[in-house]
Amino acid sequence: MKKLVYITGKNLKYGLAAHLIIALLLCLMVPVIFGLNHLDRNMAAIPLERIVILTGILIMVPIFMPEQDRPLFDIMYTKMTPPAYVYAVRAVYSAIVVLLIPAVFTVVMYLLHSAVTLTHYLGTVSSAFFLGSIGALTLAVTNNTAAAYMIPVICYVICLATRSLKMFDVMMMSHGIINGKPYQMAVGILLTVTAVVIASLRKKLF
Amino acid sequence: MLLKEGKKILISIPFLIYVIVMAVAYQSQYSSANHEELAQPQPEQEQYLEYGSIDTGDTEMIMQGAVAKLIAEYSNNSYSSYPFGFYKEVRLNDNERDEMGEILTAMTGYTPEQIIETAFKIPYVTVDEESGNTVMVVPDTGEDIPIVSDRISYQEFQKLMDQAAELIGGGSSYSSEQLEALGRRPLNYEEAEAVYQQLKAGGYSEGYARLLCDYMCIFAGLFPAFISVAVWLRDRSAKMRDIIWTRKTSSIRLTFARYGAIILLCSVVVLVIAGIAALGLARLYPGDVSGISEFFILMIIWVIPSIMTSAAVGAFFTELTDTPLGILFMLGYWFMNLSITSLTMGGLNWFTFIPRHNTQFLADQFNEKYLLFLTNRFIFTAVSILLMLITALVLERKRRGRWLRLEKIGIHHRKES
Repeated sequence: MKKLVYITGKNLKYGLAAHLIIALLLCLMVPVIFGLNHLDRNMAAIPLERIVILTGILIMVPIFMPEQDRPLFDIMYTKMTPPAYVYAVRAVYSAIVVLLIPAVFTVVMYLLHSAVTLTHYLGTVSSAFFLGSIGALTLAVTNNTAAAYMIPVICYVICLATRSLKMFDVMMMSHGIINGKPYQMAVGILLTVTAVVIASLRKKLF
Repeated sequence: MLLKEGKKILISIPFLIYVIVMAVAYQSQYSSANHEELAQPQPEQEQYLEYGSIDTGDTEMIMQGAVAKLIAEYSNNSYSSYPFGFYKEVRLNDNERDEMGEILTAMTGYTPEQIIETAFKIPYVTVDEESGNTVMVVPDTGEDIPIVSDRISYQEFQKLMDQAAELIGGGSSYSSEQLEALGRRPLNYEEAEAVYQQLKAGGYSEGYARLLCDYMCIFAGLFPAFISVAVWLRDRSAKMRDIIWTRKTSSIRLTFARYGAIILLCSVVVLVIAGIAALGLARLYPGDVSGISEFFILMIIWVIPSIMTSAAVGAFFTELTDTPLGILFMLGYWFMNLSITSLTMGGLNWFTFIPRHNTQFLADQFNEKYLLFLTNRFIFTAVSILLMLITALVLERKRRGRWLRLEKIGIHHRKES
């Protein structure tokens, strides 16, 4: 337990804090671009699906970022604690943050008399997870930070311009559709677990 | 050094993804123009939407449309605005509402109370259940909307609408540009035939080169940032720093060799696409296409400055912060620009990052703005080079150890010594 608290504390401070601040700043920018008050169901989904889901990428990709520095990566393997444990701890607290940010945002929108519901919240979290897990998996596989942001951003841009991703359209709620959101959540969780496994086996695999 | 950097970038994952993105963008957005010949307008056609629309400048139409909208918004004290291309509701406070009431009184002759109490025949948009089309409906009952032109001139109307737009804030429906849109209508047969003939007379290539650049610039304005972030992030590890920073090569040379390699490779991709598009057009209209070089020239003038800016922003932020922050900055800048930029050159200004002209027609509008367009592209080219000079300066200072004290590695080194 002591080890868990220690690892979580250090990683939150050195691994997540800066990314969390940027994610929060991004959310603070939303009221400048979008109106958040008196929005109907579909309109309320727009700020959530255009901006808030991006926090998933900002929070999830850094799960594997510290080990981008090769010496740090090598040091990690000299420790008693297996890398999988550290990655899993990071994945769990990142997931909690991805759950929290849209929650606060949705409550603020509710207080501003927008027609947000629990569905809006869950839909936002699902897409944030989905995009974030794509980035995390890309980083675990390619070990390239820019590519890890690039792939989910491409996915985001495709959804911004077209509706061709069908079940994986992260902006479907803005069009009044929610049937793909549970799949996005499921795939998000699956990809995150896969990413943790791949990153843990990196030394053997690559 | 340029060659060495170029080789590294060529086999990097972000560059590979960039190539795929550009190829898919071309295929999905533009390639149909190479396969389907544009049909000549026929007199019996019901509508000519594919040939564009026209600003009639019909002041009567503009004034009535705008005042109807303003009456409806004033009555509900809920004004729609689109400051960054997205809907934002604006509610006025009591003082502002009084001012708006006075504006409406000047236009209609009705007092603010009368405006709220009277049921006017305000047109509204709805979806027709039978056809599924969006239609404009004018209510049968209620009072006709007062004729604004009976009371004031168009110039006076514009002044009042400027005041209304100021009260609501940026992106309201009453700015002069938005008001003009109220006078827009689809083309009729004669007008459609005229724009078709104009495109044909220009040898097709001008119009289609503009359309291609419009699409390509959207993607080329974002993704090079990722490539330069990847290139500059390589320096982050202590080992790489020891190798690169201690070399004799000057910071300017190192920075511009990398930057040059990125620009060169990203540009080659869009120029190859320009070549494919030009050949496709020449095959579709054999003998009619003139000057396929326009595809290349326009691609260089239009798209490459955006590639330069995007790559420079990525490089600058990465050098400055040693983080991929440039990606987020670029994404935000790109997103906002794309949201507020109008789809044709009509809305171009000095600082439009991604100029749009989403039609092979409207050559007159493009030519009218051509000088401004060139100035705009020059500004972005100059800003990119300036940004890279600052990036080189930042690297120089870091190599001299000026800014290392803030970094863990620097602290570690000092403790050791």
